[in-house]
Amino acid sequence: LGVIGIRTLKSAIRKVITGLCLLFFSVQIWAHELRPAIADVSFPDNSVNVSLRLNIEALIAEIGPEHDDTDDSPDAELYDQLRLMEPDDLKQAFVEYLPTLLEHIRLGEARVENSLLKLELASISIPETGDVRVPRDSTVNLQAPLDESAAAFTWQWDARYGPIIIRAEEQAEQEGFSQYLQAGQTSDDIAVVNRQARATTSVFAEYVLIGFEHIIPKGLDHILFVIGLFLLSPYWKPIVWQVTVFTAAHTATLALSTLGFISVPASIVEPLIALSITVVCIENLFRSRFGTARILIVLLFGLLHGLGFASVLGEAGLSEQQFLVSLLGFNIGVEIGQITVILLCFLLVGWWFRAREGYRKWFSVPASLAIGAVGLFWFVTRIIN
Amino acid sequence: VLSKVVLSGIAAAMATIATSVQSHEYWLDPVQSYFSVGEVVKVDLRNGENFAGTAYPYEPDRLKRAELISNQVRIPVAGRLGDYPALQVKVSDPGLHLIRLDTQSRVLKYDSFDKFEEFLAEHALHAFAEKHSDRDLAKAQVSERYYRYCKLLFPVSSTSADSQHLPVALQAQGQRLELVPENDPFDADRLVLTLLLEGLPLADRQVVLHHRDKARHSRKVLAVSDENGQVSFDIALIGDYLINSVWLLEPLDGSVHWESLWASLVFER
Repeated sequence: LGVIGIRTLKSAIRKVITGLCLLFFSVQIWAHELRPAIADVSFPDNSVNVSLRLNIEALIAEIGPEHDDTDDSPDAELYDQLRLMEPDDLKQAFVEYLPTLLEHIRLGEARVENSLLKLELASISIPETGDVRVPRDSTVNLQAPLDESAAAFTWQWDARYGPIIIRAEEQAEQEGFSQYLQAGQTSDDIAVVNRQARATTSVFAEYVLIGFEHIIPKGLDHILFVIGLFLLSPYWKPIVWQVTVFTAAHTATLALSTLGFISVPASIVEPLIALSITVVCIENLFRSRFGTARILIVLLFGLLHGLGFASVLGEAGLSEQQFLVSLLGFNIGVEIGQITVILLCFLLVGWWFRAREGYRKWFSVPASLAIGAVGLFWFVTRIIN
Repeated sequence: VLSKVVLSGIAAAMATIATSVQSHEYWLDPVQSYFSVGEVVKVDLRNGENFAGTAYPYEPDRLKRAELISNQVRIPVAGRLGDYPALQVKVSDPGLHLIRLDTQSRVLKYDSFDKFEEFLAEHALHAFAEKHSDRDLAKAQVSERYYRYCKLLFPVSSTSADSQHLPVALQAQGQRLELVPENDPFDADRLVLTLLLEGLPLADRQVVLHHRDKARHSRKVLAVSDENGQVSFDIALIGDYLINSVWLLEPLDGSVHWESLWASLVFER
């Protein structure tokens, strides 16, 4: 109650002070000469990005070019209130105003009917309140997906927002597009430059790496599961079979899950993945031969691990434009990770120990027990969490 | 947070009461304090009062002449439309440097004769109210075409030890209204300036020095030029210095009532 009381009091005091300030001065001081907003247009990662440097307060108060001085404007008072706001409050006011702004921006492909982009707010940065005699310039980033065929755009915003300088990036050492637009004027063609439509090969390589990293070093549970598969039998045939089935299964659920066809919460998937480690390890204790039962178990757990990959991949995000390429790359990365784990097992233990007496007794059984115990421990902790 | 709002609000209220609205200084405000060879000097164009000014972007149409001047170079400063800070130029030799900026003229109209008189009062130009009447000009909408003549002095790497010759940066540059330093302000605790109007000393004119210390407290010192157009200021304290002077002329054409010339000189000690 005390905290709320103090907050209310503070906000009341602030309101009174704001009122007093407004009584003494209207921020007429700010608008000496008309200052254009600046819009920098770029085309990163298959999108159109417009970075606007502007006076958000004047924008919301709609103090346009006809009012050279805020003093003359009917909305001078609103401007003053906004100017005194802390960044968070102003941000809120801006987000409320945003639909109006977006309605009055016309960014579309040059000479293409019905090609207006649906811009969305990507980020906003508002400086501290600072010296209220001086206008505050904030940066607003608006974004929209870039159509691959788009070659050039034109920009226009409503006259109420005043003049704007629109610019595009430099390209190949040549000075980029820049144009001063009077209030309401439409720009010339802004050519799409430095289109960062990434080469398919680079997207592929990036996702192979992401996939690999999800096994080594990030995916200790997947590593233990794969070691569990190896411990069944240290020979190529059963291992290749198991890995192939496992891969096919997790590819299927990963694809279905990232496409949104299935969705299982991590709170269910994660404990089950831990449990799957224990299950294959227990199976290792009772049999060393590879059969249909094992294939079914691996298939089932493959489906499960695919859901787990989907949740981590959800964080990294698949490339929207190159979904298949990135999904394939991710899977191959995961595969390389798993094969690496198995190769290491072979090199460390398999190739010199597998044929000797005591391999099961002194290595595969104790190792299965230990790894199974870790799996069980994770299962319990993941359920509790 | 609260006290910041209170303070800034009160400061703003006081500023409004203390000064008139229409008169604004225009000056070059460097982003950095120290300058070394090879560095890009970035300078904001500011318009405001008491060091509190709005930064303006680079708009070539608004600038008549922007130059970087040293003993070695005299090069135009050109940016890209919309740049902040507006002026950005690489310095490539040590010694005293000057950035000189003349703006294109703009026209201002006063809503009332009172506002025009306020402006005159603030700059000790009272006599012009009478001249306005003498010239039989309308009082309803006083129009004024204003021109800005700015200078920024800064030492690069080290101040030049060559005291034999007057550094080019300290020489008169031919601005219509110009503040010409008679000595190196980085090398003395007093600065003597000559105020030139179209190349000739302007006597009996108010020159204002603004000083802001590191704690950002600012103060103002008024001086009046002598018969040689000279004023002298104590500049022993460290901090930012902004020196201004304004003069009015009858325009040659009749398109506006008055022409105002604004000279400024900035340096940081």
